[in-house]
Amino acid sequence: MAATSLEHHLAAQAASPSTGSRLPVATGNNTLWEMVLDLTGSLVTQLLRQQCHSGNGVPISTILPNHMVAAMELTGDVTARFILSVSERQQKIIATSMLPEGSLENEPQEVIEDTVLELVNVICGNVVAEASRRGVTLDILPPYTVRVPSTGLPTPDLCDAFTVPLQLEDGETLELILLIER
Amino acid sequence: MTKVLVVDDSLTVARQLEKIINESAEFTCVGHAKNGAEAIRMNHTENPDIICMDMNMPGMDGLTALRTLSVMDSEVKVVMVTSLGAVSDKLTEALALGAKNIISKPFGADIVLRILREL
Repeated sequence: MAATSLEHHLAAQAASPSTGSRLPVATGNNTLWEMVLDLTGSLVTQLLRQQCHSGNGVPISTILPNHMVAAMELTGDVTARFILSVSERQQKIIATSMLPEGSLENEPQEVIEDTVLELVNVICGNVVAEASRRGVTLDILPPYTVRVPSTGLPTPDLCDAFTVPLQLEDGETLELILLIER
Repeated sequence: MTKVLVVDDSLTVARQLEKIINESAEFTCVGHAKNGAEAIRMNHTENPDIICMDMNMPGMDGLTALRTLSVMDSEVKVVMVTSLGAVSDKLTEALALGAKNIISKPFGADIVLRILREL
């Protein structure tokens, strides 16, 4: 079988030092979730073609409304929800980078939203692959859009919830939210 | 010209693959199916040489479609497109069912074209 971009990516990742992303100590499976943060930063860097640094996790109890909130369920040895919350400008940055035309002129909103869902899909798929290499079995369900009311969405009681800033080179900060079932 | 059918529920991935395929001199994209059932129908109508098919799709998924295609058409070559990498049980099953290779997401034009040329 031919070498794949994933293999190249993982080899490059293994050769690079961790970005030092950290979640609060109370979280279970910290090593796994720190891998998720580092891999997210690395893949966003690759896909948006600009440097992305994943910061430290901060506990939250409410998901705040935003232009688009995309989510994907991770199931298996651990259960969690991976959520990416983006502003309209950030959504356009993602769409411009992900679509091969590099322009959003005449693009329907459905296509622009699909680029954010696909970004989440690629990140979570690669998380599953890397988790498997570490002996953790995970699976993913298709990504979907979360409708957050203007008052915000309380995080589930049985979850540890964290927000993690994904700081882009151009000054924008995407919001990664992890809901990790206890 | 080698005919390629793209099967993916993501418009983003379909557009990425179609551009790579159509900008090459050897391949042409004959259509885009959004799930496995559409892929089976378009395999009849478009008669592709290669199918690039997503693993996870709503409705009929890639593995189920691959199972059907391997019985109905022994000539078409199927490449699975996935972000799950080479370690997934689903991928092992896909290769056992006759998938010829995988395209891992994220992908670049060079890797996609190399995989298609090697089939």
